[in-house]
Amino acid sequence: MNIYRHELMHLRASILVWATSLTLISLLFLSIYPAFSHDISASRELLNHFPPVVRDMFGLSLSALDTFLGFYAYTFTYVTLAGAVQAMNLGLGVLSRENRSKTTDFLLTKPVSRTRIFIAKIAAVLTALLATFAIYCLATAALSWMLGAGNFDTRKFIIMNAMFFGLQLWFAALGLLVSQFVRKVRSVISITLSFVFGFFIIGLVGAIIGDEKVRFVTPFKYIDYLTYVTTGAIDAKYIVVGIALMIIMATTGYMRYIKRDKKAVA
Amino acid sequence: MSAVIKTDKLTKSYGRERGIIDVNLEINEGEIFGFIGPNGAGKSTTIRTLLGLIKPTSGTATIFGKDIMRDGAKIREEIGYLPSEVFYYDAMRVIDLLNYSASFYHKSRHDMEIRMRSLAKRLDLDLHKKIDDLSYGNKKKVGIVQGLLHDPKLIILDEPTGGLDPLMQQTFFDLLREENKRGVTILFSSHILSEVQKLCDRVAIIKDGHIIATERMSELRENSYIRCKITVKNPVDRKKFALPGINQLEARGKHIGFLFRGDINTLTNLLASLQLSDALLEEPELEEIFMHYYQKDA
Repeated sequence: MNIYRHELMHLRASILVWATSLTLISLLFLSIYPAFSHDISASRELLNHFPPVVRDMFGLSLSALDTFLGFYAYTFTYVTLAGAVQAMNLGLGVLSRENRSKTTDFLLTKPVSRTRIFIAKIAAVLTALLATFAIYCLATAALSWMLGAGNFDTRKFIIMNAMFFGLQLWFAALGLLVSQFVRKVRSVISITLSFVFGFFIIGLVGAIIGDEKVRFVTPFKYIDYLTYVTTGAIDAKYIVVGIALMIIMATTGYMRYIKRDKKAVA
Repeated sequence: MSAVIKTDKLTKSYGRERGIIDVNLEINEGEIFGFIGPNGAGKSTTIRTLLGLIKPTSGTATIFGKDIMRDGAKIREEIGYLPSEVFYYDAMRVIDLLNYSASFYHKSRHDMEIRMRSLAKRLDLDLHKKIDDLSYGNKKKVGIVQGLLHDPKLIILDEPTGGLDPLMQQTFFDLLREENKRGVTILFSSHILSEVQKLCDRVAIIKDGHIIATERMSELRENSYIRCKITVKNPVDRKKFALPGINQLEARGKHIGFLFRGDINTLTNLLASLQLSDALLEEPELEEIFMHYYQKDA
């Protein structure tokens, strides 16, 4: 419990910052919705002027944008991007923290096994993610009410948010894995940004060229939120691949963490 | 007397880098055991393996009769460790760091608290400062308190004196002697011979990853060498130096240097028979003693 508490104390500021950021991103995009939905035909007209490639790239689907959930799905392009950065940052940072602050000797010479350290640290990351997620859910629920979303399918809203959380778990697992294979994590955020934007751009390119196979490569495309909103369908094969990868990444990270030699700091 | 630390052919290889090879150590309860060798000889590698920070390539080791690989966490309950370089979470205050450290041990919090305060007082350490604001010497004091507050049965010190001023070093050595009097076993690694001489009962000498000798400190002292550098007025025949106890003779013109071990009168008689313009007798460098051991073993 002491390691868990210690890690959470360290993360408390970041939890608040990220919860606020995610909410603000959502607010920023959702606040357009009332103006947009006020005159749907004018809005459609406007979107029609964009080249189809640009519309595809930004996930602006003409068919879905006139409903609140469709619009919410559109904001997910950016919310998931930010959420992925947060999650990977946490995953990458948590096991490499001792390495970066050179406190490995302090922690690992205590009477506690590496497995227990790993569990405590992962529990802290999950708690941090759950805390931001809870705040985000409450905030977006409040926003939908304030922005006059009217009646929408709450079940879909909840499932979409849950999928977003799943994506965060995926990136946290990637962070864990990468932290155990980089010789020395000097800057957490720079590694995070290169991975997250890498996957994001693969997703954008995939959307432009319309190749379905790309969806296996980037977790941002495991779920097509717009299709889900309009048809209620989720393609299970991508989710299965995603979950399998997540489990492999987390366990590989764990195996390496408990075995890795901790050399003296120079 | 039972062995607190026992290693059997402990080996760690790092690929190209040097590790340790077939290290056999037996450190008995209540002993202050010195572990001496030049930098990079494998002292830290041995210690870090014992602490479970790195995994041995082959061989085994037990501490308190328990296997270091299987029972690492249990063993560390009774170990206090002070590394040569100390680093702690910068944003924490000293008191919070020490309390965090104490929270790992399944011992009376009250006793640890009392001990923490008395140690801090003795070392003149301000508990309410932030770690980040401490000087290196003060961080080292945090390290000492953090290593001792849980009243360990075995103290492992890896070149611990760096950063401590001579006065604080004295206090630290006093502390260690007191602990030892209460039956605590101490493993003390250093590359400074005089430090080890001050404190230790027995000493193991390590070079290039091999233990090349394990000796009682008293024997090491009896067998101690004198480094002799003399300048003679007139050239002297090398044969004059072919005496028992003279090693590593080097003569360059009028400058002659050698290591001497044995009856001191042999040396004084030799010197008296020469016309000297200069003479220097000193304790040899550690490296030179190792050279001797190394040659003996080869």
